[in-house]
Amino acid sequence: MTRIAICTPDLESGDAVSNDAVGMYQALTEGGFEARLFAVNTRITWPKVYKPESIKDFIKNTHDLLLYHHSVGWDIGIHLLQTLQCRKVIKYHNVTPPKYFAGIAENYFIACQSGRAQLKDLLTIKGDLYLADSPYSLRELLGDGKKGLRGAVVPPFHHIDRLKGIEADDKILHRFDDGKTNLLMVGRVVPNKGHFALVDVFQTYQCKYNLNSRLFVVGKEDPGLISYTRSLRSKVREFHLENTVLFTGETSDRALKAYYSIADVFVITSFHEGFCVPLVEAMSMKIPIVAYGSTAVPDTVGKAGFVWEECDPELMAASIDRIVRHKPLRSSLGEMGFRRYQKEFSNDRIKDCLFESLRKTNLIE
Amino acid sequence: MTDNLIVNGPPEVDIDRLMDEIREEVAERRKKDQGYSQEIQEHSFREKPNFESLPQEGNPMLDISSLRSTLSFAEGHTDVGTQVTPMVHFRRPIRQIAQWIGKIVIYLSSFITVKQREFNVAVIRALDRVIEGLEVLDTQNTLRRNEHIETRSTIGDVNHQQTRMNGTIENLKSTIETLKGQHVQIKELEKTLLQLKTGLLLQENRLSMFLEEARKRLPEPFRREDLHVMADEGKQLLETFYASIEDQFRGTREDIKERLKIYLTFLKEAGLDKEKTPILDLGCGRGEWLELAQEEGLRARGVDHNRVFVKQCRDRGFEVIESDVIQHLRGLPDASLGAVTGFHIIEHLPFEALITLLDETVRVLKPGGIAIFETPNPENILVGSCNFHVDPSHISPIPSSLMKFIAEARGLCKVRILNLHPYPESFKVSGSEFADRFNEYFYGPQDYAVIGVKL
Repeated sequence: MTRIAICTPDLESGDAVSNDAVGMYQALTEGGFEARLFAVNTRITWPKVYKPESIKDFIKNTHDLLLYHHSVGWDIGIHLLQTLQCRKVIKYHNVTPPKYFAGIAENYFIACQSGRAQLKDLLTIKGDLYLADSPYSLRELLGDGKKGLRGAVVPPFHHIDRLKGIEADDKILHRFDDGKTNLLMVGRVVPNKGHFALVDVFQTYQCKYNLNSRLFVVGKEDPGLISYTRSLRSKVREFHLENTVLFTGETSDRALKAYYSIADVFVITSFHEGFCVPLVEAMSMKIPIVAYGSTAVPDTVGKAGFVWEECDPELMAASIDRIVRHKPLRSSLGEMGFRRYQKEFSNDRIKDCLFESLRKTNLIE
Repeated sequence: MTDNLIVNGPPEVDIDRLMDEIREEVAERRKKDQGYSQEIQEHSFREKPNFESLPQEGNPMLDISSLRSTLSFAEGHTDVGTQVTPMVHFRRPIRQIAQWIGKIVIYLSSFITVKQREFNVAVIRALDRVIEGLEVLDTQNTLRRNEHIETRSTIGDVNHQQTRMNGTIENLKSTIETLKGQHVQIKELEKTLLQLKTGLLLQENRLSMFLEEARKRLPEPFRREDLHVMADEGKQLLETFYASIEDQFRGTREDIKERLKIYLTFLKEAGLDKEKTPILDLGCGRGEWLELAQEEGLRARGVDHNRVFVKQCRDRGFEVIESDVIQHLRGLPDASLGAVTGFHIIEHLPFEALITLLDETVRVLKPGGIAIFETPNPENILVGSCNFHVDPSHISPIPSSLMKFIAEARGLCKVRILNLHPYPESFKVSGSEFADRFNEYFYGPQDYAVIGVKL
């Protein structure tokens, strides 16, 4: 029986890479494979996570499989890929370009720089299969495909099934049930997510179309990026939007569900995304999307929302207004998103996609 | 327009067409905005206070008196072709012949000049009306000019008032900021006041008890038992102080509730529901866990010997018994509880008491019941060397391996250790294996929980 070791530096609950690693573990064990998770740092209580030092006790056969998740610079991971005598699959979640952290957080800058530098190492290892979250990430990793390496797109597993199964936080539902138009952005408060542009879009929308509106920015604020969050808040104050742009910080799943439940439009102006799970969450909740189509965003949204090539506040504000004013359009876009979620991004579909890719390359039977 | 782009039946939208439409709409809006802003600029330019550009009185274009005199001259010549000129420059005989010829010519031309005269009169009348109209307009113009001057002066006043209002708004903003600061201070004061109130209540209780004891015993001298009672009261003088330490260092109520949520999963895993409860929380403190359990629909009660905490919990409507935890456990029947929990209490107990606590826990749990005890993790060097001693009532730290061994030895099954609350990632260093080890020792889990079930 082929043993499969799934390896990533950190496993935390709620984190997109961790959700993917745990999702793969579940899919593979349900498929009858003997799989284990390996990580240096972990906060999850289930499933059991082993230290990478013990991986050699588990992977003993050349037919066994190492499934390595790459999202930041991690020397131990590269070392394992170089030394373990087994078949190797590399899942690329994309690494944020370090330029976004220049002058803001030196440690993030270095981590991203080393993560990008290690992309070359990943290719020289000659893995048996390279997986990526999106066509954009696969192109970034394998280039024009002339290197003769095998690649496939497998979207990341996510926690949407769990999110759908829980009750939304009542307090939030009641507090914001006041007839205002609610715009929503979900994602960590980090520089590559383009929050400044988001505030511009909201300001334009509010001034030109709808004063009775507010914007929720839902996502963890990192103490290491304090200069970014401070200047963002100061911009909000400068525009006198402190009462209508609400930063929620990290939230519980119940609270997250509540914010999705009250949202009229999901707006994103991120400059760099390897996939962007919140877009899929919004689609699964039937929330219409207005997005700046950078990097992998067009791959994820497809034709199920407004994706603009340019980050133009006027165009995005006009799109939001169109959705808010035309209820039939709003529900059609919601349905289109939901259908796309079911067809392309449900956990069952992702599981099929993963197994199909592994089977095609004879990594599993 | 948008509705046309939604196809009937399964809702489908032609996104590209819709986006083209929006692009056009925005371009149109930009054009309009640009035009508007140009107009505004021109308007404001014109509106600049420039009294020289105002229409002046006596404008040559509107010289009414000159028009009047010209018209009056024209009126004097309306009867063209009715009289022969005197022809004084001719000599008399020639003059008579010339006048005679002139009369014949006037008579003959009168068929044409009569129409000319009628025309002249009509034009002069019309011009007279026009001049009258111009006179009215001129008067109105003068009035408007005066109004204009007045309006300008009013605008000046309004501008002045606006400047003053801006100043007032700035003052209000700063007042609001001050009030916000004061609001925070008031909240802090309210918190302190609450603590003082509780402390005062306890002092009153102790004083009443003391007086009661004194009344009973006087005039006899104090007996040994009385002194013991009073000494015990003295011991509890520290309770209020301990509650303050807890408030200062343990974290806010919300933080603690958030941290404790992780255990709900274990209760569910153990199949604990309303029927299989109650949960008994030993050393329940401020009752965060009791509140969380109640929110989940589980029955829970607490026990604590600190009267301040007991009062706080009861005020919040929780069922809490004031007692020593071991004494309370000893009084409970066998197999009567679904779960026994204790967050940060076992490190307060001497070793023998810890053993008794576990023995009693195993006895009172129903089969399948779960025990959870959380305690500081001395494997984290910062915790072991410093943070543990922030609470002066802690006795000694318990390494997780020892605690697991004790729990298993005293009869709990499926015992596991759950590492909790590592430092945030931002504290950690990176770049080498040594850094990883450093992170593990210094920034690893600050607490752990030992979890076991009774089979």
